[in-house]
Parts: sequence; structure tokens; C-alpha cells
Amino acid sequence: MFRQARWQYDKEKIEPLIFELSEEGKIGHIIPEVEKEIKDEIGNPEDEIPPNLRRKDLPELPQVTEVEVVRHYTRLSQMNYGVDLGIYPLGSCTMKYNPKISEKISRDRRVQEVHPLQDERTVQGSLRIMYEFEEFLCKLTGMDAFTLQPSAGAHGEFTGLLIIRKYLKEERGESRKEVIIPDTAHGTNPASAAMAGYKVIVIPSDEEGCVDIEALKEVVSKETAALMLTNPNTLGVFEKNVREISEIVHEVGGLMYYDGANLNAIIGKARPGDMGFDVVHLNLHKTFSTPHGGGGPGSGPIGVKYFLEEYLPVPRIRYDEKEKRYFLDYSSKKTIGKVRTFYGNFSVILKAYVYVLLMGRYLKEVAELSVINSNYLMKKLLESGEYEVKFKSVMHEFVATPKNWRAMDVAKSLLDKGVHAPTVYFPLLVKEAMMVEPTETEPKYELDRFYDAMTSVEKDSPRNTSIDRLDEVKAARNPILSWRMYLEKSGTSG
Amino acid sequence: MRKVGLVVNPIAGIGGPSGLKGSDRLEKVMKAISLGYRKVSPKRTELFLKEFLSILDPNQMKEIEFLTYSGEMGEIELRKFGIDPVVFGEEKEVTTREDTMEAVRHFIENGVEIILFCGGDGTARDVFQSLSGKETPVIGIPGGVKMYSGVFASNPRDAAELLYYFLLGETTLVDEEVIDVDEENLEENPNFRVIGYLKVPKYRKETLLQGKKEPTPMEEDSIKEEIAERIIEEMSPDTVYVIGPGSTTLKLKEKIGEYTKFGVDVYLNGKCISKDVDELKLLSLIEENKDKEIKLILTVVGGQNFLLGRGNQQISPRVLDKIGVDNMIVIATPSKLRKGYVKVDQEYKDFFDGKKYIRVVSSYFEEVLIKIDP
Repeated sequence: MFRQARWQYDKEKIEPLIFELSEEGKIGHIIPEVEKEIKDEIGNPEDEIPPNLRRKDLPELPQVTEVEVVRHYTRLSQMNYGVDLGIYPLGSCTMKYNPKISEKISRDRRVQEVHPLQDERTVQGSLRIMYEFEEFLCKLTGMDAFTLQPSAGAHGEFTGLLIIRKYLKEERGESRKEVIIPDTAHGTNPASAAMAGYKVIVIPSDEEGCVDIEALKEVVSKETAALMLTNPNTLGVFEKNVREISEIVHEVGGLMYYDGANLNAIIGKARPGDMGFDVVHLNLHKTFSTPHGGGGPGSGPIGVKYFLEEYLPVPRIRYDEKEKRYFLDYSSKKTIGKVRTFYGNFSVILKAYVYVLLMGRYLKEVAELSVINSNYLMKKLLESGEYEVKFKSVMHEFVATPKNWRAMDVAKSLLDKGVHAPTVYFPLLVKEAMMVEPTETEPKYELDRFYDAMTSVEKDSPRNTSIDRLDEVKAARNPILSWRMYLEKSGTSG
Repeated sequence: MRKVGLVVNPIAGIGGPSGLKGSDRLEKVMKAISLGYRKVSPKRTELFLKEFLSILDPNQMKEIEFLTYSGEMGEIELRKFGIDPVVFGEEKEVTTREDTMEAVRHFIENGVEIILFCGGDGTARDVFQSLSGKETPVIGIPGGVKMYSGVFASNPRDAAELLYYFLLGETTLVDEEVIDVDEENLEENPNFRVIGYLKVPKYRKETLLQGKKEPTPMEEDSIKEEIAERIIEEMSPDTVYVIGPGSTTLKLKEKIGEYTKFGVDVYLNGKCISKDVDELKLLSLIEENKDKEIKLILTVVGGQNFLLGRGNQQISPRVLDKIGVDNMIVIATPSKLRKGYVKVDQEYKDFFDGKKYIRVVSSYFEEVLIKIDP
């Protein structure tokens, strides 16, 4: 039986926050006094810091000993669950195993200690990695140019839409107002479109879970700036009419935007560039196996077709054949400008670069295995008679509906069996949706363990986890995200 | 103790099998009963209770006190399941709407948290009228013939779940339309109008919890507010706006100025120029403003997703013909659009010939393409 660690602090409280462990006067390390010889030479070392940069008050850090810090975080790690412990089948999140070699290389001193303001002649290695990685991505997606700047998928979406907007304005003198988005899309798509100043038109899916072509034809017009499409979509279904969709959108002068959230299912097999997409974003923290962590750091590079290249953010990374060196190029006149300080989340980019080299020609098998794993689980769940799956011709993920339970009850029960729950209540067009994406890194016995948990649902879960049922509505409506917020909301801070 | 009111209109639903279309006319109902037509709503109520007891554990049941009305209006059904309710009223052979209203008044006096009723649109209307403005939440167990109002759960099982989640505090309250039908004239001159709004609980997990991949969900009221903001921003001067009834359009009307809660109101340049207009008044207003552009703003009303013909019949086919379908702006919150389609009554179908979809404004930034009457 699964039982998660539960470090009890006192009767009511489990492991407290580190701030609550704080006691006046406790310290972890004693910093040695500056030796007399040095003092004689340079005076008081603190005087070396210009007065305007000196703190006036002490930082409000918790006062704890080293052993308390180590125990605290070790305990928290035991009360956590991650992809290193077991399956994490969050649909459309691609929570696959992150190879440790990528972590190791990204911690190399030469990576950790470079500064983004260093002279580019002294960071040729880093520039080369980024340059080559852009080339890899062009080849994998069928696009002509990439930027690695955006720090997340949604950031990539926003960047891509700004490029489309500027292109339409400068090249054609148009201010189109609408972005079309299918009802299976991630919520970030309409949010990004709205951020970029567009009105969103949501179109329905057809019986097979694909874009309803008739609806698309009805809605495209001279106002259409772009269609944003995830392929395969969040139902796990490949949009087989994608070429026709591209033609319909291009015919009215709109552009095609590819949301790369589900690229894992087709990587090395099919390329968005060949399907008619003009802009793509990729999620390195999904397809390229870099960690998802607390909302980041992620990385959402975007790629474009040649006619949009000049609009990419600056600087671009280029190679000077004559001088045999890499350099940062700020010269583009049409660029939308910078979308992030410096050049992107470099350590994430490096991990993804390592991943591509590590996989080499086996990258194709990522797509194959992810599709096989998801179809294996779907068939098994269908055969159990306990789940319905409306859209069955799926790739790397599928959306199931429990026949006898609420999706939320199944999700909570899974936690009790040491299994992370799938994405629930999304996509909205499936009732009581459970969106399962096992990914290619799960072995068969782990898939079976997930199946067993899905088919032995218990009421009133979770009970075996560190924390039992949370008030999720309250958490969503009234989030307390930091110690400072906690003090403010509880009225204990001045 | 958690107090729950349950009232059953035992003759609701009888109009269906007996061809009456509704049970408002007493003498016809009496005849139907004497002819041996089976009562529908007591059975539905029993189904509801069976489901409810299967979800609840016995300890939780001890915390709940049912208040009900005598005989088949709830008492008999509850006792069948071993529940000992607080009973009001005297048992009668044939019950009337007065009994339903009396029951609801007793429930309120005794401070129930929620009222469950089994019946159809007529029963919903009776509950609404006897609440006289009080905002006690209501769940309709579908048991009538006509159920155009938005207060009904889709089946007795869903009603049971909804009550369960309501008691757990996992629901949020949403305004739903009560649609009134005059049964006397049902055939010759049917008149479906929005006559009020009731607070109905909705499962929070579906409406309020943020899924990993969807945008932060908002309270129903904030979405209505957003939609209203957008429509007001997009309003043009010297254009006549005819705004239909419904809880979504109500928010818009509140923001513009004067309004009636349940009627069709007309606006020009940010001012209400005519309130609660009927078909004839609308036609003459259109005539008077021939030189101006006229726009019609509608929302989906009731539980069956009607856009035209149920709840807003002031907008008759003649009116729609004068204004033109292309001048129609449809607004609705995503929860109303979940079914994926909207309906129009038969007599409006010609207007939508060859049109499979319409655009519906569903938030400040978003429009949704929705199927018309699949």
C-alpha cells in the first residue's frame, strides 16, 4: 500500500514553513573575522561597497541552523511527488523523465558562471550551443528560423502573435482583428491572442474531434489574422485535414500558428512546417525533456517561415564565416524588439540541446513509444468497462470519462495509490474529462500500475497522502503564495 | 441540522401521456387521473431520493432534516425511504398550485437552506412566485411536461448529486430563468416568457476550478459583466438596440440604464426609450425608427438553450424579419453554451436557412461559433 510521508510538527500541523522554524539568534554559519593583515591593507571591507548599495535594514530571512534547513527540505521532498517517483500522466503536459546527464552538464562551471554581459568572444561555446540548437529545431519543425528568447509556451505564443501582427501591418498595411481558435485549444491560446490585441473566435470540433471545417469556412474573413492550432490536439487526435485548414486560412490572407504542446507525438515523423504552419512554438520542458518546475523555468522557442524572419526578436545569433566566430546581431530593422532580457533560459536550452544529441536517431522512437503507450492504456481502460472514450483514434494522449465516478473523485483516489492524477475537466467539450498522457518514458509495469489505480477507485480520498483533501476552490480563489502574503492576509504584518 | 425543503407537484407530468401538454387545467387533470394515467413526478422524486441516499453516508443523513408537504406532495415519497420529515398541510385527493405555494411559504418561514421541487415549468413558476423575491436556492427535479426554465437538473440523479454537493459547500449559485407558459392558449397562441430568475446551485468543480489547461474560470456574474462591457463599448450612436430578456442581457441593461427585469427593452444613444414592449409595440417602434440602424441583442434563455421562441416571444418572426438576422447580436456565458448548440423555434427556422452556426459573444475578448438547432 502507498503511504506518503507525513512529518508531523505538532498535533495540528505538519512540517511547518521555514519561516515558522525561525528563532531569534539562531545561525547556521559563523563567518570568520577579516584578518588583521587584510584590514590593515584595505580597511573595513564593508566600506568597499558604495553607500547607496548598502542595506539599511537586515533582510527578513528565517533564523535557522544548517541541520534544520537540511531536514526541512529533505522532509518536504519526501512529502512530494515527481516524475522521478512514478508516472505523471498530466495530459498535454508531457511530463516525461528528465535525463540526469542534462542536469549534470547544465551544472558545469562553464555554464553556471558565464554572465550574459560578457564579451561575446569569451562565450563562443554558449553561442555555438544556441546557434546549433536553433538549427536542430529548424530541421525538426520544417521552419526557416528560430529564436530561443521566450521563456515559456505562452510567452512563445505571445511573441509569435506579435510577429504576425507586425508583419500584417508593415508588409500589407492591414490591421486584422480576429484570431481563430478551436474549442480543444489550451487556455493560453485565447489569452495570448487577447494580450496581443486580438478578438478571439472559438470554433467547434466535429464528430471525430477535429476542427469543424464548415465552421472554419464560415468564420474566416478579411479580419482573420491567424488560426492557432495544436496538432495533435488536446484530445490526442491528429488534425488530418491540416493541409486543407492551412489553405482555407491562407486563402483569406491569415497565417497559421502551431502550438507545439503536443509535438512529442510526431517528433521526427511529421513537421509543422510541411503542414502549412507559418509560426510555431515549442515547449522545451515538454518535448525536449527539460524539467517542469513550479511554473518554470521553461523555454518556448518560436520558429517562423522565411518571410517572417526579420520580425524575430533581437539579438539573433549568427556565425561569421570569415572570422570563424559566433556573434549577436541586433541589426534587424523590422524586429518586434526584445521579449526577454538577454537570450533565453540558457541552462534549459542547454539541457534540451543535450537531449537532442543524446537521443540522436532514436528521437523518432519518442513519438512511436508515446503513441503506443497511450493507446495501450486507452484500450485497457475501455476494456475494463469503467471508462468511456469518445474520441478513440488518438496518438500520445486520450480523454476518458469515468462511468461510475466524478473525474475529481477518480483523481483524488489515484493520489492514494501513489499515482499522479491526469489533467481533469479539460478539454471542456468532454464531460468529466480525464486527459491521460503517459509519455514514452513509462515502462509497461508502470502503465499497469496506473491502470490498476484507475480501476479500483475509492471514495473519500485521499487519505494516504501527506495532505488530505484540499479546499481547491479556496486555493484557486484566495491564493497565498508567499510568507509575506500570509502575514498580510492573516493581519500579523504591520 | 441542515434544513432541506422538498415539494412535489404530483400531477405534473401527467399532461404528457394524456396529451394535455401540461397540467394547469384542473378539470382536465381530474379526467386524466380518472382515465388511469400514471403520475410521473412522484416516481421521479423517488428516483431522486434513492440516488441521494446512495451518495450520502448514513451519518451525514442524520444531519439533514427534510421539510415537506403532506401526502404525495413529498411526505409519502420520503417515508418510503424511511425518512421522517416535518410535514405541512393536509393530504388532498387533487392538489393545486396553491398547495405548492403554501409549502414553499412554510419552508421559508422555517429557514430551509434549499428547496427541491419536482414538477415542470408551472411548478417552477409557483415556487418563484411564493419566494417573492427571496433568494433561497432551488433545484428542480425534472417531472413535468414542459421544462423550458433553466432551474431543472438534467435528471433525478443529477439533482441528487447537486444537492449533495450543495450541502458540502461545493457549489456556486447562478441565476437561471423561469419561463412561464400560459397553457390555456398553448395551441392557438403560445406565450413563453421569462417571468423571473431563481438561484440555482452549480457544481463548482465544473464552473470554478481552474483546470491545468484552461484560463482562470470566473464567477458567472463577472463573465456577464465582461460581456456587457464589450457590448457597450461596441454600441454605435443613433442605433436602436432592442434587448431581450434573460439573466445575461439583464446585466447589460442594468449597465446602460433603465430596464425591466423580464421584458424586452429598447435603447437609443445610451437611454432606454421604451420598456417591456410587446410584439405590436416593437413593430411600431421599428417603423418609427426606419431611418436608423436597428440591432437586436439576445441571449440563450432557460434550460433548453432556446435563442428564439421560448422565453422571448415578443421577438416574433415578424419582428425578426423587420430587424434582420444579420443585425442580431447574441451573448451568453460559457456555461450556457456547454451543450454546444442553441435552438430556435420552428417558426423562426426559415431565417436561418443554410446557416449552420452563429457567433455568440461569450466574454470581453471571445466569441464562440455555435451550432443552431442540430
